[in-house]
Amino acid sequence: MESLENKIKRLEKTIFKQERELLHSRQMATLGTMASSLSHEIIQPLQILLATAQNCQRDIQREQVDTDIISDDLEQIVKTTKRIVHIVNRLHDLSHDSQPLLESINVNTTIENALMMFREQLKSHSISIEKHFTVPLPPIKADQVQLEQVFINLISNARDALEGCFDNGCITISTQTQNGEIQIRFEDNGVGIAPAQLPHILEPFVTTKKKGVGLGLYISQEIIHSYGGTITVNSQPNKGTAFFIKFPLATKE
Amino acid sequence: MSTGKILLVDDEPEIVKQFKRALKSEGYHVETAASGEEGWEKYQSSYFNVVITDWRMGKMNGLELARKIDTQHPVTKVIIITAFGKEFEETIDPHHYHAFDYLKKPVEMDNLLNKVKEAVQRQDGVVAALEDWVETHSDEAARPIMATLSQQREKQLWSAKDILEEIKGNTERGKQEYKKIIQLTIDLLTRGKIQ
Repeated sequence: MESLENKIKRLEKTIFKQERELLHSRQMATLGTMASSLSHEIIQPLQILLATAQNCQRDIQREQVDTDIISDDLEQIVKTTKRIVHIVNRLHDLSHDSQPLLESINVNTTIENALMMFREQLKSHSISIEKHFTVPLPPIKADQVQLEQVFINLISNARDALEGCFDNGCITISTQTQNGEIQIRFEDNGVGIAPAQLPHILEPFVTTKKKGVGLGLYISQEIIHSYGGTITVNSQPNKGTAFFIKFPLATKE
Repeated sequence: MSTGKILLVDDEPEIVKQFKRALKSEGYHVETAASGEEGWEKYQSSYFNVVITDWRMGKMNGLELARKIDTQHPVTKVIIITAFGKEFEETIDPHHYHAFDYLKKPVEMDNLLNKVKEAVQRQDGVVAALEDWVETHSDEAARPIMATLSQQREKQLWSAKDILEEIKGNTERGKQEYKKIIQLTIDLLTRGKIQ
């Protein structure tokens, strides 16, 4: 018969293993929904790179080289390459299985990084972004990749909620400090969530969309809770949806 | 002989800059638009040999723009640039509109220029004939003549040069005259009579 002590040890090992698997599948879920939109994000800068480089080649072939123009071209190539590097790095982080690394994180920077993953899609859907960031913003203790995942999920949902609203689709994001916490408001003026679904929207496998599994908000909530934070949501059909997130400030150690 | 007038429609300014650069280096006159709506507006006021448009662009996407262009004559060749072949093929209605060609991103400059060259060569017959006439017989083309161009036998005063300008300006008169010229051709072929 297994001793109680051994049983506890065995169960602890199992829980630990399952936690790691859960973390991994959370990341995979986010990655999966992003895969198709990411290819579009990457193809645009690749087109800029190809066209710029080939134009330089043509200039050289036709012996019409203007060093000022070539200089601008090379600057554009470097800038655009860095855009792609950013996206690829994020892809790597999201797909890499690793233990969360807690660091001092600036929420404004995290939000900007997440927005960079959606630049082309937001543009092609005519969605504007309004940022009301408090600067400087005190840091919170979190894992950079996980925190970015939260905002990636929110932006992704907002983009879907604004599908078809080409006129004045807008995502408004504001950050501020109050009562020893960082408060974030993330709002869109899209289709909104039906009153019947609103109380359940943060639960797993709840979705209003045809595609996707309904884990995005649940994962975001889990991540936020793991840092001692909270998330609440308000919504009105055809008016929009707003998320309120709070995080305790990183205490000086 | 003009090399051609191109309308370039894309919401990414860096792409517009590079495509325009390549086209201009080949001697084309290039105008640009940053959205489907702006493209349509510009198209209304001038005839273009070719329209190059991105597919995915906000309110009026490239395909919608192409369909609208297709409703006007003379018909312009439209090249649609798409990101993903399969996704695009599933969207277009196989029975309705067909662009002159589809190019997949990222587009190579040589490829783009070859397609544009092809499209420009397949110029609208009426416009090409008028252009040729105006170029080779400039005095005659500028002289207004009395001519009856329709069954209704209304006489009108027009010069080839004026008509060409109206057609290229996409004006109401230009559109009407274009239709009459087409009808005239049909009449000649079917009745062999001209009053």
